[in-house]
Amino acid sequence: MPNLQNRNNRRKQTAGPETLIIPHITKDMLDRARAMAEQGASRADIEQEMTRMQQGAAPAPQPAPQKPAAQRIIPTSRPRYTDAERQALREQMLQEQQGQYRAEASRRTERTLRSQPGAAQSAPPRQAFTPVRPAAPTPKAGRTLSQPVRRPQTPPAAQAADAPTRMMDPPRPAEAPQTPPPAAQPAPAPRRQSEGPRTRAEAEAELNEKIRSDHIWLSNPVLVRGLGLAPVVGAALDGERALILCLASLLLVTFTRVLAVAVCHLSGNRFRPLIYSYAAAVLYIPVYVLLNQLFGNDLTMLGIYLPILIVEPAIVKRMEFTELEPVRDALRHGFNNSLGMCAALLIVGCLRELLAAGAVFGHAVLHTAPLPLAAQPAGGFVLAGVIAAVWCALANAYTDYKHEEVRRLYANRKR
Amino acid sequence: MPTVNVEASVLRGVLEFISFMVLAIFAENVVLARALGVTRLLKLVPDHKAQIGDFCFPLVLVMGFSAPLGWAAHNLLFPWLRPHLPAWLPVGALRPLVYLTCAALAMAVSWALLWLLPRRQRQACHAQLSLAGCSTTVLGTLLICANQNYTLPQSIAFGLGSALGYVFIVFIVREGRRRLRSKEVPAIFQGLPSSMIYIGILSLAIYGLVGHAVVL
Repeated sequence: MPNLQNRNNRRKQTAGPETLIIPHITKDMLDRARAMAEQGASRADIEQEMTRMQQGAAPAPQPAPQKPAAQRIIPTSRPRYTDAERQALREQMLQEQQGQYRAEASRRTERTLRSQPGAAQSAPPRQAFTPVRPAAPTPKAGRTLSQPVRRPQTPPAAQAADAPTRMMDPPRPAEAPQTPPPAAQPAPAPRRQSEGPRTRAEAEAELNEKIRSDHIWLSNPVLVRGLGLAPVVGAALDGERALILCLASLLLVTFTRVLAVAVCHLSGNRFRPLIYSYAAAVLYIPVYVLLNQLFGNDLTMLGIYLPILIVEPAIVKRMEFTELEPVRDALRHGFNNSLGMCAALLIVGCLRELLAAGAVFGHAVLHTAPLPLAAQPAGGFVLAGVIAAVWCALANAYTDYKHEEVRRLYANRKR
Repeated sequence: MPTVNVEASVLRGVLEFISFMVLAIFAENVVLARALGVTRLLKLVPDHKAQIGDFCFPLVLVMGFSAPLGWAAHNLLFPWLRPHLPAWLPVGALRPLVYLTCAALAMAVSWALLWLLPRRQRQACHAQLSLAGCSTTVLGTLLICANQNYTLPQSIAFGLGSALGYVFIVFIVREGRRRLRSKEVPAIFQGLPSSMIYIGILSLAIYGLVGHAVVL
């Protein structure tokens, strides 16, 4: 049998001689077809002659197959299904996929409930899975898993823009062409903001932001970041002075930040050092009048440390940052910073008084003064350093524990 | 002889000027004796972007120029202003505002003088000028001079001495921070705690040298 033309290269040919494909051809049949083609016989005549030769030369023991259409290859390696059989297969495939979605949803539910034991105890018993499309999504919903909801049909680019960080969704079914999807078919739910981070990177970023914004304990302005050390070391010699400084810093730190941010909004965020300093100096006037009414001549105990609060880095440190925060955030951050500064002032002041005089707020606690040096700036430096070391160690231990918790929680995820 | 008297008075004035500068540098150092400017010091030392000279040179200028302005405010402005204030407003409430204005004027003069520097140094000093001017060191020195009722030469000497003392402590703390990076230091004391304890020991040494505590 001669080497026939490669069928895979048929498309590469242009308008060449016509190819006739004849199954089960013999050498005699091939010679006959070539001779008829040279004599100018038509294609139909050649095919008819070949059919006749096949039937006459080799009669098939089995019933003769149907006559194939010309120029059509009918593969015989797989059975051919009717439309009804195809529809039945398609429905069977969709049912299998629905079963996979149910299993995946149940696994995620169990995992979430394991990670939130309190929620698992308080959550009502879940109903059986009913793939019903909800009427409307609830953006304020809590952190509970919802049944998968089919997203509206949007192009892939739009879906990527809507949910760029979406992950951990079960694979979506490959929709069969020319078949409308069933109404009850579940699909992965879109990510909602209330569900929290889904990746480890997001969770760690959220944790770092929480640590950074905790100005009272984890990012204390005095004992962790080293701001406002002058009044802590120089003036917080006892509880009473620390209390006066607490009140002054509470008013100055909070409202200076608010006033300075408001003025910076008006000035286009220019002249920040002067704006922050003068805002504190202007606010110092009513604060001093108020403190003078409350404490009287006791204010003189603070010496220069009350006026220099207006340029304390705990108050004007924000002037070094170029980004301008909203006034509401300035109020919140300023109040938190002042609370952190108050905590440091009270702790250092009371401890120094206890060590230097054996008393707290003037009330004798110890009969002797364990460390009289604590009343001097040198003792203040050393004591503040030791307190800062203990504070930072506890804060680091807590943050390490939270980071480890995040790592374990997201250990089974790829990112 | 009048010539001898003039020379003696000038010499006495110079000695007084130098003695107040030495007093401000060592015995009443703004950092070790009063803990002023500690926060900026701790931020400045490990900051490799900001050279120490870029911060300290504007600081010396600002403190030198603000000292006579502070003396003028204390001896000229406040006595004139006190009778005009209402009874509910003590003059102490206006002191930070007035002394901050003195520091701002000194910053303006320093900003103009910094144009004499080469371009690169000028830009670096201009970037640090606002941080140097709006610091507790400047305002605290002005308030100390006012509380102690220093004369004009004494105020200038104390201001310049305080600035030089700050620069002196910056170099000492910088060397100490370099040595405190040793692995012998426990982990929880690395960074801010060890630096504060180091400054406390330095302050204790100055306290032992002087023998008495300064007026806070």
